[in-house]
Amino acid sequence: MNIGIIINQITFEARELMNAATKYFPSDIKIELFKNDDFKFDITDENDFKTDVDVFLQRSISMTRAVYTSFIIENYGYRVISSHETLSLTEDKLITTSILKKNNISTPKTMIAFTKEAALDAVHEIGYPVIIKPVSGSWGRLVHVLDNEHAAVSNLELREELGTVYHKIYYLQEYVHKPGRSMDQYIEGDEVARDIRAFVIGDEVASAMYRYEVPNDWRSNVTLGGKAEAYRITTELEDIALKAAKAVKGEIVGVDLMETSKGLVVVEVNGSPQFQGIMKATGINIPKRILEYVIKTTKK
Amino acid sequence: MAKAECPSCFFEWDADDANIIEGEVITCPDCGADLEVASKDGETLKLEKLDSSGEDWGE
Repeated sequence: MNIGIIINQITFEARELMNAATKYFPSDIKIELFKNDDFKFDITDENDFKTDVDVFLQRSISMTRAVYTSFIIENYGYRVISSHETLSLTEDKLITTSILKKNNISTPKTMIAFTKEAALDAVHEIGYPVIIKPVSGSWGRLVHVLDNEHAAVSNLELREELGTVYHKIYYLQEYVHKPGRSMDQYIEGDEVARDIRAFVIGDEVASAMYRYEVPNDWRSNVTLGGKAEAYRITTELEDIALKAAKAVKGEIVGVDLMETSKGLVVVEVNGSPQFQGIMKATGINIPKRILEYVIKTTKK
Repeated sequence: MAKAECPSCFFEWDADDANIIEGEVITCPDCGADLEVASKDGETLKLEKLDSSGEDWGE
């Protein structure tokens, strides 16, 4: 079987998929890298792109390129994981939250506004503290906590001046209090505030981890330095994470969850999840599991 | 284990991932800069700054 990996830079994920293919499936899988810097498509000619690749894995770290290249390559008749549909539904948090709600998946109260005045009204309706996020973006960039009126007004004014239309789509979310103490209250040996990342492959949660709050921050992204440890997968986690993956038509997705007194809530779904942090935390061989899934689900 | 030095903040560290290859993107564990492995000479990584500002990199 020939697997194409679409990249714009070689990342840990692309490299580990190549290594896993060589190590575990030397006679079954041949990997070919496709750098999207080199792509040139005639999208008006259905025969312009031909390859002997059976399935593509989308690993572009540029989200816009990922959405477009999945779309284009699928239009030439190839299977791409993640698909354009999954990436489009997960790349925009407004869309993801709406889809989750439509599928009866618990998610924090979220409001959208298009002016700073309406956004401030929404903040008052949710009640402090409130999380503000760009509708598009990853790794915790420009995700802020508004914990009082001064912070809210300054933050909204700043976004109003930032210049791009996307910064003026105000995505405001109820702050979910994480269990455990925040880092500024941390006592040696005590529990630090955390959330959960579940890594879904097909119909299974392949692994899951707790991600602990970054020191002197309130976010817990591993890319920001958040520490991680394995989470024992429960039926509750499995049910909600698989439901979230299915809602976005996801085959390989990362589901971010938080623990509340009413159970788990889904905060985000990532359509092209990284796996360096979760491999380190859980020891689960994610690239091997991904390749096994691709073999199992690809007809020759 | 490979020795690495961030060209942005000059932080030195031992990258514990022995499989790192040329062209790979890694992140400085100290300042968080995105870096590209320009070359790998034995146990030493030569890193270059990668301008990811204005990019929509993510997962």
